[in-house]
Amino acid sequence: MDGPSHSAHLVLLHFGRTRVALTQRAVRSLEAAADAAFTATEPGVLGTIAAGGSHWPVYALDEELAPLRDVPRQRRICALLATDTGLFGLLCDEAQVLQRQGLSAYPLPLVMRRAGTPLEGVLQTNDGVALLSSARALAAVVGVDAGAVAALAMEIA
Amino acid sequence: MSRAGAWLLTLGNHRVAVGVREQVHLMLEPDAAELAGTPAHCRHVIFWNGLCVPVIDLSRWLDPSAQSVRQDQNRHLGVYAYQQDAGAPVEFGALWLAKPPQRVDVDDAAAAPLPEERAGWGRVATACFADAAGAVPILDLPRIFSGALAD
Repeated sequence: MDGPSHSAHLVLLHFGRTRVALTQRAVRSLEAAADAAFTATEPGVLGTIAAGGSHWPVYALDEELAPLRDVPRQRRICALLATDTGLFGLLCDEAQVLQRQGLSAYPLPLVMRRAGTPLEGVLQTNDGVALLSSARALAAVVGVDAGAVAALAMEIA
Repeated sequence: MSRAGAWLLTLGNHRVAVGVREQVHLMLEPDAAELAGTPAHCRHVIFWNGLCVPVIDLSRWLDPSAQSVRQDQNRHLGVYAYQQDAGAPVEFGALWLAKPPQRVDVDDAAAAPLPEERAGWGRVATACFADAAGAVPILDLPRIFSGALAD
């Protein structure tokens, strides 16, 4: 989970009614979705966004955390998430930074686990629940191709 | 012949039973949180006694073709204690209930075969008894909450 127990802050990404909590270090930056170029170059990739001198692939998830094949135009934010191989963008409606202290985190109950799920735990917040996940798990769900990420970054370098 | 106490549970349109000591809490008006990306038969959790307890809709699992269970069929929650093995820690899981549980006494002589109309009973019940209204499968709680019902 990108070391949630060692991070003082969490970032909540909103996908419709669904809220996903990531450690602050998993989120490199929050960009305007309007800054992305929605011209798909790879299957499953909705477009690209420029940051830090490179272009990174952009993806989106629905409320059930399944990959979207069309650009959800209502999503105004593109969260740039960091994996071992580079960055990727994930479109979301809203992003909030929360103090980790005082929030209760639980492992996802065994009976709720599905193969390939990005869910790693449950976070009880002051106003409901959020799903704990990681940049790596979300990258696997959207199908981030490490090779494609590196190629995009090289293109612009 | 011996008799044992049990709780008779109504799950949607199904009647089942658990041991009298397995039910540890009843929530008549539960506040359950729905989690995205979870199996259709286990979409909710409750926070109870400092624990995150999964809530199973066993009726939905038994009748997966049903589009949605009527809201009033998932009105209450029972919290159940189970152990995966003797000596293993006690764990907790919850079931959606259509009605408050009813206390019954079951006689060994009431043993009956599992209902045949649903193949799933063999995966969630350890035994069965019959009363005047028909067969009542006895739930295998450790199996139900182990993840063995994953879709």
